[in-house]
Amino acid sequence: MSDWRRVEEIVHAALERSPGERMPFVREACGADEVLRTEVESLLANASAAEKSTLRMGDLGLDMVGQQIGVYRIESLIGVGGMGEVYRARDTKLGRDVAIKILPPSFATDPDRLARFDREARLLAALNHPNIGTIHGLEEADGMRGLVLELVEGPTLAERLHSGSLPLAEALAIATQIADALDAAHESGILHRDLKPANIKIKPDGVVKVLDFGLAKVIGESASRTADSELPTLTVSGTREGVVLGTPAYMSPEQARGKPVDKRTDIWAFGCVMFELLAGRPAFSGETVSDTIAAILEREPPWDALPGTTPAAIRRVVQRCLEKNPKQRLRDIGDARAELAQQLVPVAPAATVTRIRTGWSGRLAWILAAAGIVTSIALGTAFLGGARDDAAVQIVRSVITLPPAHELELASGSLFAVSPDGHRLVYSARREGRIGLYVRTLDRFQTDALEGTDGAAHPFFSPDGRWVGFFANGALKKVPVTGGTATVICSTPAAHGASWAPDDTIVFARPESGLMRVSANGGTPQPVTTLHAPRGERGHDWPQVLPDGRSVLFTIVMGSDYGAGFGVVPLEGGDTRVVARHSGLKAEKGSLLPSGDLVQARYVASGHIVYGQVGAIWGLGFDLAQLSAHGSPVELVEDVFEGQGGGAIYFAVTEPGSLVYVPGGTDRSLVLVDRRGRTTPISDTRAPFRLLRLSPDGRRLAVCIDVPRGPTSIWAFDVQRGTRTRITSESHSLLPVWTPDGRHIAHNRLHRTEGLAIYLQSAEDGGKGERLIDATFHEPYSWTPDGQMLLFSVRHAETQWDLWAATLPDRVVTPVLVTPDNDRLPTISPDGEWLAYISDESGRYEVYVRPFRRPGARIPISIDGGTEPVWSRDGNELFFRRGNEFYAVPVKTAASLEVGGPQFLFAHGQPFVSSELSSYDVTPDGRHFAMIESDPESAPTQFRVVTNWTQELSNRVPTTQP
Amino acid sequence: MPTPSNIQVTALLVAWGHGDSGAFDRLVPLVHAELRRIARRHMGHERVGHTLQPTALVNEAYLKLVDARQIKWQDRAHFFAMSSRLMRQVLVDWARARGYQKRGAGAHNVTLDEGRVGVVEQPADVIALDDALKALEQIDERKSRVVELRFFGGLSIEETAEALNMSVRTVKRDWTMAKLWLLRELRKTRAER
Repeated sequence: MSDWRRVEEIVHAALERSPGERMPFVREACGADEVLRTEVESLLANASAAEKSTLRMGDLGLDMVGQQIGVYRIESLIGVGGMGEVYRARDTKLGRDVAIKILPPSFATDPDRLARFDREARLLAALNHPNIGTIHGLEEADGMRGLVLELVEGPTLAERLHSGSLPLAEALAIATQIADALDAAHESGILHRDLKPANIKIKPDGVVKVLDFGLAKVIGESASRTADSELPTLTVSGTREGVVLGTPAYMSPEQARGKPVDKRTDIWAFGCVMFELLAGRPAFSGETVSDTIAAILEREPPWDALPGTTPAAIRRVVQRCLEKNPKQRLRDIGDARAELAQQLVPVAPAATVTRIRTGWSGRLAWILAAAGIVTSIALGTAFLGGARDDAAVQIVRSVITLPPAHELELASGSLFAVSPDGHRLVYSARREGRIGLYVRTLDRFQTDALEGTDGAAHPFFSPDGRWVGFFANGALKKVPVTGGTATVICSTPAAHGASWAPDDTIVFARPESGLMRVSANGGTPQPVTTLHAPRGERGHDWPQVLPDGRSVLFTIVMGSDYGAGFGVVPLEGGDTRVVARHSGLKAEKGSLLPSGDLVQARYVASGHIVYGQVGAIWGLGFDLAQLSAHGSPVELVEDVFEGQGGGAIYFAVTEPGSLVYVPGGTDRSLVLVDRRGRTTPISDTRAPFRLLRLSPDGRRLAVCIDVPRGPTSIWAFDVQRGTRTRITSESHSLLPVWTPDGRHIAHNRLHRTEGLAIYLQSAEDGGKGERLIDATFHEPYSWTPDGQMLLFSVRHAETQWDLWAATLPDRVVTPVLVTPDNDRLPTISPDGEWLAYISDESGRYEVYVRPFRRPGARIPISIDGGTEPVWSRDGNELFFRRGNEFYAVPVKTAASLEVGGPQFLFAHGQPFVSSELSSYDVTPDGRHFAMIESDPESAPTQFRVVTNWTQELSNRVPTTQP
Repeated sequence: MPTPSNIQVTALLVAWGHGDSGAFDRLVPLVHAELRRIARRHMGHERVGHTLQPTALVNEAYLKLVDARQIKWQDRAHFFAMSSRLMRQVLVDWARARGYQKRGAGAHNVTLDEGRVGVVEQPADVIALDDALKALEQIDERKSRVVELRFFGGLSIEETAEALNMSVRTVKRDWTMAKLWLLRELRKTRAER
């Protein structure tokens, strides 16, 4: 293989020739070199395989993102289906979002197929109905074909059905709209041919959209050699839910037999969907594709799975749709539609609509959409009207600060509890080294210690609010909330949570075990749940007795991921039912939630469960009567304190509907450190700080703050007073560098559309700033003292990091130092004559000084590694750091440079937050170092209270509950 | 344990794009953990059988970890460049843990009993590919890196070029050459079986 280069050359040259010419060419090129020729030929033997090689997996999907097809900019992959990938795209002309289905590449090669496809697609595009996903058109670019479709937001019916059947009214509302869609299409002579829950979407306003009308035929026909193929697609669905092969569950008997189909095939599929809507399970299913097909051909659906409440007329419609013989089947979808309309609940006249509370909107939408009375415009009015009427119920956000000596106890993930009437807050805190419970009465300023609660964790209230239960010293105990003697209920180690039922049963968690129950008056604990070992369950935590007083909601804990789902179990014990889970928990039922540790589901009377996941509070619809979750999860409050080590998130919802939580995630602070390493804080603000610079007068500190879900921005802190001003806002802004006059800050800004550039922004008025130069892999670092030139480092493919400068105002960019090594962090001495920088020429970064814009040798400053050089303002010292050790080097700058040895100043301990650059700066007097400290021990100091929070919850998380 | 929020990863990615190599060190464990988590989830569906699309997994990690609106495509390319190596590791670990030996391409691809319904792409055997890539690395490291990015990271030619600081033309040539070489080696492996 010594001559690999030569092999490569010949292979590429050969590939440029036609297949027939290749071998003669290779023989000639290789001459007498047999080894070379064998090597080249063995490689070229794979040329045709390589062209369509499966190694091109990268072509599946990702390559499209960011590309432009016609006026459409592809933004993200939505899903991968049997008919190719579907992307979300932006129509740059009309400014709307669309879905684009990219057709399989085999299309591009056959003009006949393409023509047929074009014709059919145009026909489908003419189909215009509010319940049918519109086809906007066809787009072609670079040999790729895209079908441009209406982008419909919201879950598919298949997703909705994850959590089981739907309430009758909702099921009928959905079915009616599907029937409407089919009716309209059949009128135009178009069949769907692949109707199934995965092709039906439910928009947040309740409007149903049937997608992919007729595409099965168009694509199936054009894509396969057998033009008469009438098979529906078996979808290889979703990159998010796992790659799962679909089933032919909605295929009609005639489709399964490969016979011709007509509109009665759609009616069959409609029957299947209706059955599933009502029963919560498919009409036909089987372990394998063959089993399912056998069921379709031979067996009756499990009719007894339809709920007893199903009206006889509806039952009859489903039965007539699911006649195996098409001749006996319902002939016209219009007949089903008419029958459904009979069953719909009559709706109050439109005048009352505007007065219905917002909490009702979700349900209202169903009824209205079902009855076809109101358009979406009227629904908009309903929301606004609701908001007006509810104006009296104000949402108020307030803060409760812990008394100064109290540290919230966090080590065991111990939570706090709010009394059922919402008047008292009980928390476990450490005070002067001792842990105990404290009661804060919300209408007073006072906080009282509860006697007899030494070492208490996980407090919880009795339903009448008179007792507080807790774990302490290997026992479950209770104490009157007004103080008194604590009594032991039973022995048990502290674990994640307990809940007190109205019948005075206490359900509690136990480590590595199922839930237990015990009388509040004491006794021997009895098991409520047992761990499902085959499913990998490791514990049941955070029990909550539901308002029915008979069932318990709890968190299912698994080995590797912490919380994996939520279950419900009868209080007296019995079968556990999974109501929601992420896909790590293998269970038949339960709403599927995104992965990530799930903790602490709490039922809320508005018809929701609220739970913690990844530092945020989420909400999900929950039907208390059916004990089932529905809808999609919505993130409600982010940045909530998580227990150390996970498994707990600090929130509680009170009975009247308020939320109490502990904010989290702000764990860094700004400090000044003197030359001996003594620390004083600059401000009390804790935030995700990084990259700081002191203003030339040392009075202001510019620093970047990462904002959750928003751009990183630059703020200026007043060093004396600790107050702050925001300097940049709209885009990611990093690496602040003050101009020598202290009036402007140069920085990198990542603009969404214009890319990365160095900007100059006023440090006072917070304007938009001025774009200086484009800057990918640029680090703005310092100015010349006259403010005429900005120095920065640039990364280059061959010469690594180099030093450059941009002059102002003409923005001419010139190289300062270009070497094959990494040269970075240029900073100019106060007299403007010397350049300090770092270079890894020796194999590690060291600080060097060389004459600036004059010839001259470089002078090493650091020994054994060093970085981040900073000149003292008087030019007599040059500071640098090595890890967390800080050094000062005496220098004399004149015609020549005199340098002393590095003097060790101090080593700042673990809390010092370092980054590669701008992690510290020195005050003008050279006596203090500004830096960022992280504080892993920092305990949260406040509770946040949101009164009437369930208003917001109901508005943001639709539920079928009133 | 808390999962990293996407703001953290986004910020690290931007910082890394600015040359903050410390950010890279902090990114790796976050992304690796996420990839493992996603892969584990996908692989849980073995009852039905699965095709492993590294591309889809990496893409999912990206969507999950990164606030795409805040990221330039160059930074995105770097994310995928890093992820591709991690993805390779995750897949190989997984295959080895499952006792898959060097059984050649498509050893555990899924076919339906009704062959005519549904098309499942043949996954190349991860271990065989990994071995072949290691061999290629000995001869031409750059080409093995190109394959890693394209195959495990799902990067386009242009993104690969950005991530490796190479010209598009060179990436194309490397990719062609590497494919020829790998297909030959994989074929040999299969023949030896």
